[in-house]
Amino acid sequence: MSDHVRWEELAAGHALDALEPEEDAEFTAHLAGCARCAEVLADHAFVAAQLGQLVDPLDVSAPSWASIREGVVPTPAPVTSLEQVRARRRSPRLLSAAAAALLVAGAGAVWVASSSREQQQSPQQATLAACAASPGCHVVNLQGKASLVVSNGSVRLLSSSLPVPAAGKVYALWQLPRGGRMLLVGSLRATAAGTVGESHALVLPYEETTAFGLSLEPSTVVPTAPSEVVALGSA
Amino acid sequence: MNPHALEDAALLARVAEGDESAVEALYARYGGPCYGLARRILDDAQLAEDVVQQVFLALWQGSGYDPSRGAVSTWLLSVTHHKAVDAVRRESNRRKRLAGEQVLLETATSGPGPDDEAWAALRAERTREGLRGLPAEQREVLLLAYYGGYTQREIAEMTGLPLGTVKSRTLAAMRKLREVLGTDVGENEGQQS
Repeated sequence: MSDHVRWEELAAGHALDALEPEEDAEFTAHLAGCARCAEVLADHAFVAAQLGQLVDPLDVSAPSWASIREGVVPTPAPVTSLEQVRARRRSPRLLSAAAAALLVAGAGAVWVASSSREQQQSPQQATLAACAASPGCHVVNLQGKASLVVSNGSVRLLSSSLPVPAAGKVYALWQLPRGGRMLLVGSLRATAAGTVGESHALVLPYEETTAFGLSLEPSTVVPTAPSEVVALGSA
Repeated sequence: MNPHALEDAALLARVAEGDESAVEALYARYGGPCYGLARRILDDAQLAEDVVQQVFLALWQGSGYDPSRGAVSTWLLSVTHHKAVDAVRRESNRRKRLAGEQVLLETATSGPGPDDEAWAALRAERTREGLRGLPAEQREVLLLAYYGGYTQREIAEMTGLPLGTVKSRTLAAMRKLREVLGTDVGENEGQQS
């Protein structure tokens, strides 16, 4: 069997959410550098979506918006102005006020970037999209400056527009547990191309993480707390 | 062209601005099919509702939708499927929901689709036609994966087939379905060019 057929098989399994975690991670990593697989995956994903459309109408109807709404839109009153909307979106429930302000600004930037991007996906975009749609794989947007891919107990900074740090400085990646202080995951190298980093093992399971953060730290010291946070993203 | 594509794009823009009525409108349009799919996979009303809530929370938070990957409905169903499969795999009693291959086949090959729009009806009919036209052994592995939420390795164990055979049959089934669906009902209806 040729390599390409094998990748096509994995693409089909990925679109059906039918791969084992290790296979899925392998395919997702391969996808980052394979435009052909991105095209194949798009076809398979389309077929999978059509299967989803075939489900019979149920004898019970879908929940009303009122019952769904509480878990979707955390604010109780209807929206009346853009300013109110923006104010509300600065209050996610799980984060401190300061962290929330940073995170919400980032989420907006990511959405705008997503809405206006070129239709031709880059390998990085394909990887992010594939991860976002994969069981057990999580994309964490760091305020539009970088994206983390978290799966199988490890985290990788896939792409970044972060500047190369000044001499003597490195980026450090942090995990913020629920109700705890920031925990150091590892340091990340930045290049002139703006792409950073290798995989690091998570300190805590993803499910116990509230947010991830990037900070700038002196390269000669192992920090115990972030000294200069440059980006945050909610888990 | 999906007649809803432009409306969906406008609604998404409003969602990005934090307009709750826009996400409510998208829920009115696609909540039913998403819930139906989640319910089919999970066989549990509360879990299905939780999944749908997560899907629309993701939409509200602006995470993940990429116009280049197709229509909003395609994305929502895809995310619903992923989250439902995630949920079903967390359930310790998942084997209880196996209703049997025949039920899965009947689910997928009979009955109307959830949307009576012409384009959806056309695609649904072609998908059913494609499923009916698949060799039984290919249809079996495909439907166990999609509606059963099983991994290919689990399907191999259940059916006694070599894993490689499960994979090759799945790929063959997906290719044939894509061919049957054709290009006129292709995945580009959600793109905004």
